[in-house]
Amino acid sequence: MMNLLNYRRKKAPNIRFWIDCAGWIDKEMICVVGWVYHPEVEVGTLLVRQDDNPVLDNGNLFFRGVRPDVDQHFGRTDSVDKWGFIHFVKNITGIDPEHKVQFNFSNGDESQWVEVDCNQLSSSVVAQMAKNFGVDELFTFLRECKPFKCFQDVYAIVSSVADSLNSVAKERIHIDRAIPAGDSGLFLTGWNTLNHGEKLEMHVVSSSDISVDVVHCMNYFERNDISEMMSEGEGHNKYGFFVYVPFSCLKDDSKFLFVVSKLNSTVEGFEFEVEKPQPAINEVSSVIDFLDISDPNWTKQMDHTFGPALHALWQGRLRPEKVKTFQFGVKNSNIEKSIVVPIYGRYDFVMYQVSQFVDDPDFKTAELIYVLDDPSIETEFLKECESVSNLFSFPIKVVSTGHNLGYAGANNVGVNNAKGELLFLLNSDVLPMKKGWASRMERVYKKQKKIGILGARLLFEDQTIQHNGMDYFKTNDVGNVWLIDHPGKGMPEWMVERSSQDYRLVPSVTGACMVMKKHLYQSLGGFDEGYIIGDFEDSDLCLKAKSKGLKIMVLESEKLYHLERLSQNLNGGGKDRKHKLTLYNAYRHNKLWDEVIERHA
Amino acid sequence: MHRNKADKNMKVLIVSHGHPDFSKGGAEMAAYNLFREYIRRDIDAVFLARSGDLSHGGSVFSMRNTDKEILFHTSMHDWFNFRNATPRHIYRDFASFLSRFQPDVVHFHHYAHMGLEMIRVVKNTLPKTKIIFTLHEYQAICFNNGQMVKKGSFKLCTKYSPVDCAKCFPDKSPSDFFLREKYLKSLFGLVDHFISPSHFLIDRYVQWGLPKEKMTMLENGQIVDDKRATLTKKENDTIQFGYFGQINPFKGVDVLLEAFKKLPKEVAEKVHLNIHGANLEQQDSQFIEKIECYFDELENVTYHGPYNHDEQGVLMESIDWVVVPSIWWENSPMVIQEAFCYGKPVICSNIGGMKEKVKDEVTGFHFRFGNSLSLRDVICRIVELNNDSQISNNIATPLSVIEASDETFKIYRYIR
Repeated sequence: MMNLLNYRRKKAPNIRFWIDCAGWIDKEMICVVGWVYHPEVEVGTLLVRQDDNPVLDNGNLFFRGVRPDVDQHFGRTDSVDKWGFIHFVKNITGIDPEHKVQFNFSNGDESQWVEVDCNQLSSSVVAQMAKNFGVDELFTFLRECKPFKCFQDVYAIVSSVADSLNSVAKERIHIDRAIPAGDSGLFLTGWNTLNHGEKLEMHVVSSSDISVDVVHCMNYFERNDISEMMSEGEGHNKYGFFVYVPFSCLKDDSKFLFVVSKLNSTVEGFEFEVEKPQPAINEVSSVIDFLDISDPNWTKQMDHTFGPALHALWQGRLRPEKVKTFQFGVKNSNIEKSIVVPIYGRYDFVMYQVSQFVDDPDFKTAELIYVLDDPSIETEFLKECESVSNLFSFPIKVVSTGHNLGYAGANNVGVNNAKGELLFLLNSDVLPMKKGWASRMERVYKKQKKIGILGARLLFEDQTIQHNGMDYFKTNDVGNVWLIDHPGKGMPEWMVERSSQDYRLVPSVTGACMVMKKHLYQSLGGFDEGYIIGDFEDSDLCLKAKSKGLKIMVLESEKLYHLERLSQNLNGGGKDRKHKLTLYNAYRHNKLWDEVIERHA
Repeated sequence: MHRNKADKNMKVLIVSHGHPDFSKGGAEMAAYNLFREYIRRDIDAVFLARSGDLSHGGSVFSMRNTDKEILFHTSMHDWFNFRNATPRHIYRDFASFLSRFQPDVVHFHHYAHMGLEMIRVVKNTLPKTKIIFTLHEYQAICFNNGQMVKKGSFKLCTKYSPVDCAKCFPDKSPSDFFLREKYLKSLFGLVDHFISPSHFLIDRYVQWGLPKEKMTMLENGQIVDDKRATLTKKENDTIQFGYFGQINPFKGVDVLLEAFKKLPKEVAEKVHLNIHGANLEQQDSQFIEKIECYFDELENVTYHGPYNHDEQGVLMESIDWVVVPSIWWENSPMVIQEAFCYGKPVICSNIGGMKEKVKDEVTGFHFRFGNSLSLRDVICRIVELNNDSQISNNIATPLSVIEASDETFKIYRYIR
């Protein structure tokens, strides 16, 4: 490279500078590499001329790095100043590629410009120069250069500047699983036997993106299988790791590098494969299994690992392009109320519910919408709805999402397909006690001023309270986040006092039975689909309404049964996995609503 | 009947470690019988019984039979200090329960499976509420399941001592037992009055350090309809002996079987032993083998297996003598009270609550505990008398639940 360059040294009253090289990259821009020594003054801007005519330079990137050789030259020790620079001259209109280009600094000596021949430069050569600034600077440089087309294939550039590929690092680090979190990140698990005390940087690189350094986000846990293999122990066996790497994973990215750089030393990398996307719920299970709530750091891990990873995974899940709708029986001509009921797994509730709705005059002006959120049972479910509709001569509308969207998503799809002005969100295991329940709730809802959402008193099958409004509490053993309480739950009715007005203001009500205007639901953005499977979105909706100054109330005189069957299970992971997921949902809910709940508490 | 109008305005919470619908232990039955009697008297009473089953929607409470019988779905994880596994169930849920009901009296019949901290929460939540505690066992005194029997050797133990307790539990130190004692007493100290179904148990707790003036002996009330047998015995009928209860090493069933084995042939021909016992299969294999050997060997013994509590009347009716051969102290064994309800005399070990409840030569016979020869002699004597003793005529009807609740209410009213 050296032979390509003209070296000139410029002495100026305030600054001194040196151009190591300058060259064209892809005929698009000129890259200038050198150093500028300016111990007492701020560095000026780099000026560019050709044939003594100024070139308009919009200075896209002026990248600085340390130059120990410059420090040595000027007799400085222990300097941390960044004398080195790499500059891109982007606006090159009017420059003749055959002619030399002149450079100076705005606060340099006006009379002496440095003139350089500009030949072709490759992005790898420039990257190598950035690497010379220090290994840690390389990745900052590459990230900042990402907007430039010629620097976009980071995978190729890093491969070309790496000191070794697929050798040393690969023997000391292994990635067991790389789970894509939608297209916004990777959840990596594996083991790492590199000295934890060593100053390292770790990055993930693909042909389209380069991650931030993830060393400080790595979570370690015990891996006895690895410690048994280690000849010299490090006094611990926390070799297992998991980490969330925010990263844009384009669908056509197929090559991935895990890069380990030792500061001021080497860059090593190895290839790894990213798994094909699975149904989000499977991936959520794989990730949440790493959460160890006996680890005192688990709340911190929630902040930097599980929170962003689960959020990305859940947001990135497949969504229906178009939902299918089915109408069984003749729909009512004048629909005022829409009853939206999500279905997942068990669907025998359809018959039980319809048997309790069929003779209720309220349903003459209502539509009953079942939202099937479980494509695995679509055939049987449609058959059952058809049978029930015919047997009871009762209209049923079915909306099938074709995916498992979770409770919030299913309700949102249902509401989008609702015709009534007034919404009744109901769980499939809710059964009314008496006919006319819907119109009684409607009357109270319409009479109240500034009401947002109205709930009802819900009872278990043994007549004890399931719900009479919800409240919030915190406990330290669950990370001091707000959890939802059902005051009086499981107690006989006489123990849960009823307001003399029959209704009362409450902090929030359950999504198992909610009445509200459709346009309000939609203006609040519906249920937040970021909660995994189904949890907290009812409280979230109430808090959204509350933030708009609307009241949340429960009608204590209207009683419905809510059997509260256990909801969707997580791939058989049982109670433990479900509990951890609740923690995530609670954590998310808390991030959004901590202050509002505190204010109303 | 000593009824008082004021009683009807008194709200009473009875806390039991189980509901008799699921477990018919003596303490559960005593608590429930009392509660049923209160309801019969129109007293505002609630029965809170612990359940180990999962409840609907994960709730801590559920209802059983009526809206005054409530199950408390919780569990205990620390049996050394009797601490609840989910403290929130006590300091939030139980406290909320108390605030809603506002009982004037909380009458505990146990704390096992729930946690002794409940007493503290009653005091904190409702400082004016009277706390009554019926003691049914010695668990606070003795960590060996409250048996007051040395671990391994089955030797009877007469008093609590941190040093001796640590010998039974080498993984614990005397200071552990001292700390436990201090902690448990801090909670027992909040109790306004203790009821115990035997003087023997009172003596033990007084010796442990509870104040004698806070103790009242009151038998568990029995539901006494006319249960006296109507069957008339013929002269030459075989004499029927009956054992009712759990089959475990503490109950001395092996002593009873060994006594039968040692009977002289002419006596053995005239007697029959009926074992109505449960949970043999839960014992260790050596014990099971030993018991089954007796069953195989002895022709005059029939093992009937477990029985339903409702059948007890029919089973008792055909029995002449009930045997209670426990090798530990017992308190006031339910089976003695039940036998007396049916007018049946009792042969029992000469220790503890058994000795207190059965008067030797008056309402039954004593034998030397754990001694099969002594028991054999008692059986031989009964055969010698040709079952013609006056003993069954001496048996008075036990305290009824009606009388027991009259007495209990006196305590509610007059303490403090």
